[in-house]
Amino acid sequence: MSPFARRDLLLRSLLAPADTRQLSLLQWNTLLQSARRNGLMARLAARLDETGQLADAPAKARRQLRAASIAAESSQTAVRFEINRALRALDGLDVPVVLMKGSAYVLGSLPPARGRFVGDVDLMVPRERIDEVERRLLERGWAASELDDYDQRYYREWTHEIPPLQHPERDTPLDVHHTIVPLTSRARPDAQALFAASVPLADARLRVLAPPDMVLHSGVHLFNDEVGTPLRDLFDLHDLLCHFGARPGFWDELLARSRLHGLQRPLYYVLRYTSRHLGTPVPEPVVRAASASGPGLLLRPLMDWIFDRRFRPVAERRPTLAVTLANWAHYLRAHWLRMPPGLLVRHLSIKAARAVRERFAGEKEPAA
Amino acid sequence: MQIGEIPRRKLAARLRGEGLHLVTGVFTTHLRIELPRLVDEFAQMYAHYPVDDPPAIDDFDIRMAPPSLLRQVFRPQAQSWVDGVDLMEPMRLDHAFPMLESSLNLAVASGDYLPLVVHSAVLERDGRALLMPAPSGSGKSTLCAALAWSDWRLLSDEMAVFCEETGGLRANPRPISLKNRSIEVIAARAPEAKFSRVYRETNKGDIAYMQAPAEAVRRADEVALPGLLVAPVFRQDSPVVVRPLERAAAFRWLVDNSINYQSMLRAGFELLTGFVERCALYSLTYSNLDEAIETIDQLHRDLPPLPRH
Repeated sequence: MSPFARRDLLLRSLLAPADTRQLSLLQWNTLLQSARRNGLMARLAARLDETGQLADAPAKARRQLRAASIAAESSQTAVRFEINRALRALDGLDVPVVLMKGSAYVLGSLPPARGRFVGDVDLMVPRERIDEVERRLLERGWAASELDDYDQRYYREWTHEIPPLQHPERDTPLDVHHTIVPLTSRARPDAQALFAASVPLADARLRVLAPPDMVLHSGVHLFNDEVGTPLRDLFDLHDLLCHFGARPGFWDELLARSRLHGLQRPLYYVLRYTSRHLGTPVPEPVVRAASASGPGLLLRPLMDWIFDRRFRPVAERRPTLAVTLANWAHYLRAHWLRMPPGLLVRHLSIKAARAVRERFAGEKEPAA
Repeated sequence: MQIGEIPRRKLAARLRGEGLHLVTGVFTTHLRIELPRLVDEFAQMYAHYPVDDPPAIDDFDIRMAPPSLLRQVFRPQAQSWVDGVDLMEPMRLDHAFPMLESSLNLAVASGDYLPLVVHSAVLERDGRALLMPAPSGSGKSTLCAALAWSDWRLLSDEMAVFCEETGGLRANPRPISLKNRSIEVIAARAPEAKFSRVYRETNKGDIAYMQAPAEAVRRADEVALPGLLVAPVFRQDSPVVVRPLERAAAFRWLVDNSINYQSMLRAGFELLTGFVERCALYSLTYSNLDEAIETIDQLHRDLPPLPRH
């Protein structure tokens, strides 16, 4: 177990559930609070259940854990249903639909789906078909979120998705993408290769990314984007690596695909921080190969400083100054990687001007 | 230990510091208050509530404090954080107590804490529950407050919290918010009832809070088994009309008033179908409080006895 996990109650309980047997009521309280704030309550419930520890938990803890399990299960049911409706709407278009992130874990029955709340459906279609797909979904009742001209343009010209859609009768948003990173970002993954290597599910109308691509996508999302529950997403990667890592040839493919897509740096971070924080087993030669693409020697301690804080479970009531700084640094870095400097300055000043307007006008506009 | 037994100064210091673990029946709330005036109002309405001591497992974490340094001096405001998140816009400091009450309700509605919660007044007599599901603002609070001072024990005027193990209901007794006219009605019927001051111009209008009866708080860990479900309809000048309710209609009524039925899947379905099977089901139209109470008492007397185990 990593030193991080040994020191932290939540990490320790998730990685070695048997340790919960010695917890006092007060420690249980801390554990549950921390699990809840990090979006890991249902995962904790699943881990305790799998290892037979749930029955020994205090009654009140059991009740809270069970409620979280039901909520997670229910979110997955909603995701399955939303995908079912989307397939029905897209019937006859004959377009490949690749599920991503939470949706892929659930429909692909992959380990991260155990005890995971999934808030929306992410799918990917080829860029040249995306207008057709959007039109069809709008015809069949989905509605686009109301956005001003700037946000519309932001999505369509600069990102890798169209503005989020939602069916008015249901609660699950539907995000349609055409690749895995924003168009303006430095990295240029090969979208055609992503589709070509994708794997059909039992329902052959649906596909998921090939294992190495799936890891790279989750990784680039976690390290180069804003995400609400970084630790939960790190666990997703831990699960994927443990699961696919046992397959022959996986690690070589992973390195090869990272070079193909220009995602060596995010892969370095994935391997470094899953193993550093969660003790994910990564073969030594792979660590060395990925390390060649890591940040320079001077930058490494800084990146460690940022990400060690970003992945620390948020248990404190108010984040410490260091954590706030680290999150800020991550935010700037994510934006820096997302768009070229000129565009970045423009985007941030438009967002700042909007924040000022809202403050004085007292009306909220939808955020980009 | 009860909140009223803690010296006021010590109470304020604890609420400002490590906080207090307030037990309201099924829920324990880790509560911190950094608004001195709110401490007094809280202490008055919750004097007879126990604190979890030594602290064990909390359900919610609520902090009440000024939204910013500026707002302590200039038009002072109160803000609440439920599990670290500010779910509401700040309110004027004068409305801090209603805000605390809303936060305690929101905490239940927004968290994934329970199997199933339905908007409903819940009372108990002879171990059997009386459930009156209705949206807030439908007049059920007045009827509920009046019953709570008759032969019924109050479980909650806002939410029915189902117990998965027994299919019965758990208690969450809290102050009942009443509109102006209701306050006079209840004060006339129950001289022992204690009220807060009137909060003017809240988002629910002018309201005051009635303290939950001491017995309701003392017996808050007793589960009530299914008994009566009454869908209350207040209609001006209407005589009392009682109609049996179809099971499907009662089920639908519960679903329509539930907070989280949609996300509770089979567990929710089984609880509610099981519940309507074990209850006598009625709709009740009324205008006169005494007649309504008399009718409910009669329906309770007519209940078939519980099957013996």
